Amino acid sequence: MLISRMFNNTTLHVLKKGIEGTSKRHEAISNNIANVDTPKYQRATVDFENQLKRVLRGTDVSGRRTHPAHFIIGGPEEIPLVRPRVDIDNMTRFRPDKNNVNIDQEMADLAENTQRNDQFSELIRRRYQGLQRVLQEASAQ
Amino acid sequence: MSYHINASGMTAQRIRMDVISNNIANANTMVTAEGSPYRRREVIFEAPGRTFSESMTTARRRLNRIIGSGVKVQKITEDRSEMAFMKIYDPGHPFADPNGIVLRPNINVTKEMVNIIDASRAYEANVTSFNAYKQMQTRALRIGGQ
Repeated sequence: MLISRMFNNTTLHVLKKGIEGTSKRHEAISNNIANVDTPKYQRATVDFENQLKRVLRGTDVSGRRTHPAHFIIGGPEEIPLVRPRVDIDNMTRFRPDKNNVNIDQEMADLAENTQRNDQFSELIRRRYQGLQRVLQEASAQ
Repeated sequence: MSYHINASGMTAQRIRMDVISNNIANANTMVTAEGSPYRRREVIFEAPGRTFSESMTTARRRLNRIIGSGVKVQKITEDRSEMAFMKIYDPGHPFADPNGIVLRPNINVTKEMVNIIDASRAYEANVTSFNAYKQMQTRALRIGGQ
């Protein structure tokens, strides 16, 4: 029970979702960069922050589960179920060939996204390091 | 894994660079197998997995698939129009017609060089993205380490 609480906390779940979301976003940015010269290509964007925010804020309806087979509706248990949302940006106009990839913006997004992924990885690493230390101390007693 | 997306981008830009090089190399080619001067070639890219029907079917199955899967060369086109050739007045030339007009490939070497720079920069952008992903994966492997 205690172990399950150690590894099942909100922070870890959110960090994992951060890694998943930034990886997905990286895929979208890569695809946008690869298609910088493709006529009519419209850029893909990924949003996971707002999906997470919606669940974490918890203002939405949340269902109380009285049976493990019930669907999870809202609440922190829904965090592992959050999926990054992919959208196609067809509002922005950039070039006459209907391709709307702005390479400068994509490269800036790439740099930002990579750094954020690094931050999530580092935070998860420290989190596990902390848990490991606690377990070691406990076994030393 | 997005390595394959970056790789497809690099391949596409490399093919584009090959075609541009071919244009520059043939800037003065007066006769080809079909008898006309060399016709300028151009690469057309397309985004696989992003046509309307494809994105509808994949979106129904899994929302995440609509990102697409990189880029591919759809075709290499030739400028087939008669306007494709430059008309130069040079009566002494062996290929001159009775009016002294010689047809030459309509290749502007400066323009091709600019396209080479563009392809090269686009290639580099794909490499940057590739390296960024590698860095992300390396960091992820350190989770759980000391």
